[in-house]
Amino acid sequence: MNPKGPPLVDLDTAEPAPTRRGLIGMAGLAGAAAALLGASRVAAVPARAPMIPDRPTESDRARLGAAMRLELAARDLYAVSTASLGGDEAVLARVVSENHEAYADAIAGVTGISADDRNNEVFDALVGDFDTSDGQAFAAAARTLENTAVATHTELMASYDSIDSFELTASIVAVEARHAAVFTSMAGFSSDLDEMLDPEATALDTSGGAA
Amino acid sequence: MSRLTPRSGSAIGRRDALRIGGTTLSLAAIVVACGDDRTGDSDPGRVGLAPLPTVLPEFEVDDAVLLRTAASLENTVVSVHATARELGVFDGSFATIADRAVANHSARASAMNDLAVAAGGTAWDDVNPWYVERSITPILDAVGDSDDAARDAINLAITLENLLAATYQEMASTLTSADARAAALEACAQSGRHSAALVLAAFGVANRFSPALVGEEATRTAAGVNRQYAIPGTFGQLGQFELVAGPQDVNGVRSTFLLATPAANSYIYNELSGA
Repeated sequence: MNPKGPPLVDLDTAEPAPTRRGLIGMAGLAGAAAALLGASRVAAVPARAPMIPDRPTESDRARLGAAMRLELAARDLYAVSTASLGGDEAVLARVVSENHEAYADAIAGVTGISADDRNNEVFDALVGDFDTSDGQAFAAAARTLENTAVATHTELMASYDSIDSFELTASIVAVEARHAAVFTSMAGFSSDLDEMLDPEATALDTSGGAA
Repeated sequence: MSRLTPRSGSAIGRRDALRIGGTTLSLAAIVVACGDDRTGDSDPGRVGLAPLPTVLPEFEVDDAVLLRTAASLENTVVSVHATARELGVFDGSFATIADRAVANHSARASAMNDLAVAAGGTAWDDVNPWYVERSITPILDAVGDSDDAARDAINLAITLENLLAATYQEMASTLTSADARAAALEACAQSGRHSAALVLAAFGVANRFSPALVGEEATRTAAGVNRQYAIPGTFGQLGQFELVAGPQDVNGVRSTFLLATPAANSYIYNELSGA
């Protein structure tokens, strides 16, 4: 191609008279500038704090890693129930197990941590309750686990630094709370509205990253 | 005198006069344009007779706006339940859960307003006018005309809980205050519980989870309305929520309403004052 104007980076070149193409180009730039000015006149101007990072920080990764290990423990607990239960209850346990696996995978995706290290402390403490053929007993154990998971994620939320951590945690809690309501009803507490809608639960201690 | 000889007595011809006049006017226009005392509209010139676009005012969306908007939605849900109560369409365990949900929404509205004030805003004690005008009023009109008002009101109550849960899920990542984010997440969880409990009360254990979670298709009912599920998916969804309600038209089709999480048109900006 044979350029007709001066090199774009030649700052020493004297300003030449604009060519026809140059004029068209300038007109285009002027139009684009005018469009940008116009576009700035929108109704809603986000006022996000400028220092919130998109990607998880190192401290986020540590906390998300703890959350991921909890999710993997939940996956494995429901897998035990899937084998122990029968009928629709086994199907429900499998669905919820797969949900928890998806949460662990999603956390692994944003942190880069391999989803292969469950929280054995939680698993060992609850596996006896989940290894049952009694649907109501299973549901009682499951609702406790789900409410604990919601409380743990909510507590962690306050300490996260990044947008990814906020978004992922919220999308998990939105469904784990529904898990909890389903299991609370299944456990025989459907008419106890405190248990169904406003349960009390204590978050796991994640300070050591072992949750 | 020959006709071919120029007339020496005529210094300026008609053409010369036109040329000089045009040049003078052009120079005058340039001089005027270069002056520093110009007034009037400085926008680029416009072609045609199209009406001028309305320039929207710039309103900042900060934590107070989001929290006021949350309070407005809570108040809107309370208002819808009051209308449903007047219609007498809720009964049994569904009505009991709905009443508890109303109490929770009233408390949540106050909590969101407290956070809005802490964020430098003012409380919003009214409904959300945009949602009421664009969505709630047409939906309630459809419910009132429906062949099964109870069915449509139940689906509306569940859909509004889903909308609130999604709204708080979104706000949990857009609010800048850690306290407000935690409050939004708690509200997200609570609305999800409301939704699940209402679904179980209305439709029983068959609707515990969406068939999509086991690779099957989620179908509509024989009446052509959406089925509701206590666990509708693996992750909380932020998309719009579809509600089919009202009487069938001549083709057997009911009205479809779409409810989406708050955006620029439905925010309760700090510049807005309530009723």
